[in-house]
Amino acid sequence: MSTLTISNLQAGIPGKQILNGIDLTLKSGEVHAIMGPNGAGKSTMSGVIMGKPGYDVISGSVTIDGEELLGKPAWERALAGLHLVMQYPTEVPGVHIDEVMREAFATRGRDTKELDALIAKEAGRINFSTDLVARSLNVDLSGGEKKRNETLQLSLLKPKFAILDELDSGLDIDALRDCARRVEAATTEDNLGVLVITHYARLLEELKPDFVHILAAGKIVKSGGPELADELEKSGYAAFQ
Amino acid sequence: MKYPSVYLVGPKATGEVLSVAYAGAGQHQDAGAKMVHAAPETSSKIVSKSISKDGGITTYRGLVRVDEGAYGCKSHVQCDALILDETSESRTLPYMEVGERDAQIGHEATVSKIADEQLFYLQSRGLSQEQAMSMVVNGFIEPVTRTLPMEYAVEWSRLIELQMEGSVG
Repeated sequence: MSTLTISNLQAGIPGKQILNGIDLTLKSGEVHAIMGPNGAGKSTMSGVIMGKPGYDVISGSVTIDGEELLGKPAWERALAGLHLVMQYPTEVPGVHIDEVMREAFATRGRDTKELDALIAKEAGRINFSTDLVARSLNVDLSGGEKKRNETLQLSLLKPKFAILDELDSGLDIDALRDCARRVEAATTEDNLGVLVITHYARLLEELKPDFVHILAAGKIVKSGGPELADELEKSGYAAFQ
Repeated sequence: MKYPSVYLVGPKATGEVLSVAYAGAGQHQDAGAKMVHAAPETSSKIVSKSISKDGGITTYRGLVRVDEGAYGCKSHVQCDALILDETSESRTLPYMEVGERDAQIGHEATVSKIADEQLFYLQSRGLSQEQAMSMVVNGFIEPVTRTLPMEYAVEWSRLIELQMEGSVG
């Protein structure tokens, strides 16, 4: 059992504070959804937690089982058990997923002998064609294929906690279902803790959250159970701003 | 300086040069290839990949010449440069001397910088800055590497890793 703790996180880009004190505690196996309108600070939040360059942390802390992550480079956060499924996965020409996974496994001290078989098995679970696995990372992949690729890496790396930054943007219903169900399965199989960032309640029909938080103007303005997502779907964000 | 030259003297002869250059601190790699089309219907291809880092300069300097009487010739030149930091440079100097009107000559050049997003993406999977950098650079020359025998390809990627050691930023 692990715990990801975010306390009083204040951060932004140079000259502009975007997150105004976020507090959140996420335990292994739990699914928390962060919902909020455009500009609420959702992507900033995922970037700051994972250590994306370009953001300034003003104050606060992000820990996994007491180990401080802020100030560490992204790869050390990844080794500490954090994973980010990106909204817009970056194209890396000439680099293939099996090479990246081989390095990533080796860095984690994991055996790479069975890697190819493991990739084939995990790709099969989310209906991701193994022909596409052989392509350069995110180059010439459709929106849905990119997200399947992201989900594949998540399932291979088995982090303690995953942030899904708008997993539902740019993919069709079938891909959404395959990806969401795989993540849902990981919460029971591997006790994965998940922070789902989304605009829409639709994703949450497949990936059932235990808690829903509404983010507005860089703060969590309301927290509740899954019913909060339904409420939002009816009333919109205006009531919470 | 390195300019391997290919003289295409028989009709329908073909020539191909793949070139990779790496310039580190204090280096200026002036490299390329020459293709001389001295006979009709000859064709050629030059692929040049260059990487500059720590203030290094790479120059592609190449010649494609089509002699008079060498009708129906084709040539394609592709120059890709990857610049790893703010202080490094890349230059491209393609020379074309074409003596026949129907020659089909193409030149394509790209210059790219290693993007922070690419490094962040790989780092977020648990790869260190150096590992991520080696991987992007190896990916850049992959179109050439994959034409090499396995032993050379492995050696090559080790060389790139050695060059990336101690690189931060």
